[in-house]
Amino acid sequence: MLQFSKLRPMTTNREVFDQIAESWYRVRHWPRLREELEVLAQKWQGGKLLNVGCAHGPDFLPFKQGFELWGVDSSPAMLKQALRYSAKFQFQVKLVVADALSLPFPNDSFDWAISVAAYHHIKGKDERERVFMELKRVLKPGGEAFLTVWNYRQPRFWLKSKDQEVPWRLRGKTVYRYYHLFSYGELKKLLTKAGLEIITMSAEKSYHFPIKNFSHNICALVKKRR
Amino acid sequence: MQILACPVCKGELQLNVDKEEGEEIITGSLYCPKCQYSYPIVDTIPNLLPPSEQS
Repeated sequence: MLQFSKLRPMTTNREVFDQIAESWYRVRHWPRLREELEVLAQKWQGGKLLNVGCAHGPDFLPFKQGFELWGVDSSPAMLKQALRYSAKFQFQVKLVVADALSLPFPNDSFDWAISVAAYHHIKGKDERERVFMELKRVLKPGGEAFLTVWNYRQPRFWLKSKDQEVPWRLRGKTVYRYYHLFSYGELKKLLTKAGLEIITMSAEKSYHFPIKNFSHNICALVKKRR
Repeated sequence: MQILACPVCKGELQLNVDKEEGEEIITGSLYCPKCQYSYPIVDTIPNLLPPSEQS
């Protein structure tokens, strides 16, 4: 990890995602956890929904009817792609360039929040504690959030560090995105510390192995107490 | 826009419109009087990254 940083100039994830935004639009054209999100859209039945780290916006699709949609992402280039995506699939969304650690909304603003594969890009232990407090702050009392992060114990990362630079091939060059891989226990601890109530923690629905510990994603549904 | 707040102090922001089409603001800014900082709106999208991260 240290050696990597010596070899490469420091690039923030925002700069990396700005560079890969256009290819992301093509390659990640559909929501990856569609089933999970459709269940939530059924359960939540409308209201104000925030998508943290929305990128080009595929995860809005299951919520396009009946919800007031808001998306934040730290990459302006990704949000430009989100404008394109929402025009293609004909839904209304309000987009804001923002940092998940400093959300530009008053307290108690949203009924619901989703965040698919975003929080594992937050660098720093303190930051990972604060970022879930910030999520809780903008949720209304009784509001729920569904978030997913990559699991440390998925076979791809066995015997590797929890902090990874994961490559993405882009027109002949490779760019690296920073990931902090979570364990189920660590995510549970952080969410609890932020004062969120954990409703469920599970593997993605497409994962069928009986022991959840090796899943690709960790999916958490949490609630802000009334 | 009323729902937006300053990312730093969470206070209210004042909207300045430079260019609009219909009801949509194309360019402009959101000013936080408390922090005395003006956040840009570019291509309809407000940039409310904290000042330290604005590039």
